Amino acid sequence: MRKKQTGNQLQVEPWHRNPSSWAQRIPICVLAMVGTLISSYLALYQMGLISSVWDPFFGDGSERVLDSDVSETMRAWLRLPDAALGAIAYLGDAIFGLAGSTKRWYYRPWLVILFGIDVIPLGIVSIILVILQGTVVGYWCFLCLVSALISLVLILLAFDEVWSSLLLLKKVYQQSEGREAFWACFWGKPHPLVESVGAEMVSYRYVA
Amino acid sequence: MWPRVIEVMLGLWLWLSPFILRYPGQNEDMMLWIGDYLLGFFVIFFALASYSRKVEWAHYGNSALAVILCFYGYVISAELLSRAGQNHILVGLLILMFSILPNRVNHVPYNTDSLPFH
Repeated sequence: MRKKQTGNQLQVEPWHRNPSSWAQRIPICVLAMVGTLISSYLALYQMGLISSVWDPFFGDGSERVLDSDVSETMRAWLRLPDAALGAIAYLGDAIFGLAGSTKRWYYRPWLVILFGIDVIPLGIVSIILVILQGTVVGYWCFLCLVSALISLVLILLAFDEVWSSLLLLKKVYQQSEGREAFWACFWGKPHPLVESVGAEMVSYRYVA
Repeated sequence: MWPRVIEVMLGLWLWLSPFILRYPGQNEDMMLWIGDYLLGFFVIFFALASYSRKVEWAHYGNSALAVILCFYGYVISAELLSRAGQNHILVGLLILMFSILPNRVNHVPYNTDSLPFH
């Protein structure tokens, strides 16, 4: 159990918590780093730097998946093993998760949305790729499945912050005439309308 | 300023990578060495220049360099040795991610004493 914080706790609509707090973001970064390590290990095999892959359940399934035609096709397009690209994507989750203050949903929506793009659509792509491996290639790869699970958990952990930023942008867009306030909000520039919309979304709850 | 520190490290990696990845030393491959040294130099230069208040946006120069690095890696990995090309693409993507982060990224960009936080 995490030690319960006392005092005035910031709450951001529609949640009863601050989605940009470190308590919310650090687990995402730790999990993303685990994803980076797993993907890097698989990339080492695809680059030919190690000769086998650890797999407790599917025997040589991992190696068949990692050497499959699907993987080779992607490699020809990307000029890079697909696992290496996955490692970069997970590392990006951690970097964009660590960057920004504990009020970044308000001050830097562009950063939160970039983080969201890295976690959510790229995560869904990686989950689809893993499912494709099982169905098209016909073999399963244990560590690939673990990394797909990590992607899924990351989406669940990360979406609240993205949601709050998008809600702020939507409210600013609806209440403004023209797009000036919207872009000020997106890039984190001071603007009276953004401040009033932000104040509506913020409340404080006293925790004894 | 931590994104700038990591950019300097990545620039140093570009200087070291011809040795670590053992680029061939023949004359026709010298472009690989020169490319890595020039790009590494400018990556470090832009990262350090960002410490000056006058040109604190200099790190966006690294975003442009990162795109060049990815493109360069993509083109040369078609025929030349692919470990150099893969290194360029990966380092380019990393520099791109760090270089778009502002200097004091973990601070709030401006102070509001009034709204919406107190």
